[in-house]
Amino acid sequence: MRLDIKKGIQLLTGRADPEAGRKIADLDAVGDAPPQPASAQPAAPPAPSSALRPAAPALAASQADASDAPRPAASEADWGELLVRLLASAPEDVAQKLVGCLDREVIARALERRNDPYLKVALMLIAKK
Amino acid sequence: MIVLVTSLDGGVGKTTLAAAMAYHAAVNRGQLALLIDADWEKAELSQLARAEHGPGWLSPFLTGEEPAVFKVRDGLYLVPGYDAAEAYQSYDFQISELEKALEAWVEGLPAFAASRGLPPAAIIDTTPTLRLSLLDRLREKGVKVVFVADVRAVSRVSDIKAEQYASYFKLADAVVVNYTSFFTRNTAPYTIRRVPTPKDLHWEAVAKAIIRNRHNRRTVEALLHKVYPPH
Repeated sequence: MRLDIKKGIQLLTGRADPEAGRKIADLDAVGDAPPQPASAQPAAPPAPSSALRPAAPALAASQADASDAPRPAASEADWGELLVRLLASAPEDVAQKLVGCLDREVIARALERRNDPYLKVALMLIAKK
Repeated sequence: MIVLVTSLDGGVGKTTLAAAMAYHAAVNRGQLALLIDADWEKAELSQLARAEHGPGWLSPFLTGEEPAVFKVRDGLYLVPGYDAAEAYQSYDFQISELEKALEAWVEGLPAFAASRGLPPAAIIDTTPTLRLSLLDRLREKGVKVVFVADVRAVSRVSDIKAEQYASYFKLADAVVVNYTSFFTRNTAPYTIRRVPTPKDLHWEAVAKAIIRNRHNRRTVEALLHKVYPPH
């Protein structure tokens, strides 16, 4: 494995990506200090970028498992999507406990977000119970 | 202006000191800083800062990706090191490759910072036992080397160890001895005392815990005055 030093320097010095300065995420936004934009950062929210992609290691491409179906970016995923994904990916006993804790209405609302005939029937069944 | 925090032995408190220096510089001295987590063995600073997993300082050289930059506090930014830590574990790297990438960062930092509106000064946390030849080259490029040690530095485990320490001491712009005990207090120029471990192992809580101690605060202040003067 060799590193491409020349290419790396080109990227660092900004010649490869003029938009690079926009890709600064604020980890301090929930901290005790008031959030402020970077000095040269535009006021507009940063566009989703590789820098902001959650939990996707740079080397993941070469080590990806079979479950690499396309995932929505964090900004695209709404709470319903995230809830459903969480419940579906959690171990069964944990998922059962979570479902038990959640309001039935909340889960139904999350499911209603997907326009899927099977889901609609499932929801009708739930409502019937 | 670039400060590189390194050591001979592991677990001496490099990351803690780098965090404390950056915190004190940004919060109490109003000096902006870019933290670079170049500890390719652990990337602990990235974890302490809860930086998102993704491209870090090695990615421009590894995958050609733009490195992520996270704002961890007003005036303080972090380039994480998960990519390097994963690469170090996964690939048969020659250390010289990683060294070249680190040198490239030192050379490219002014342009990198300028083009992204980041501070032109950096504090780099590194892995233990960087080669002396690398430190020598980095010093020639104007990097200030802060060498962190603990009591092993003065306990004379063996003559070899003593020689190794002497070599690093010679190259260092400042030597900080951590976990000071009674016999190092008066021998080391900069000492950091033990403080209670904060409940929340977040970089800022750790840095605050260090700085809260009056002796440590004086140490960090003096250290910054020497290697990280206002830019």
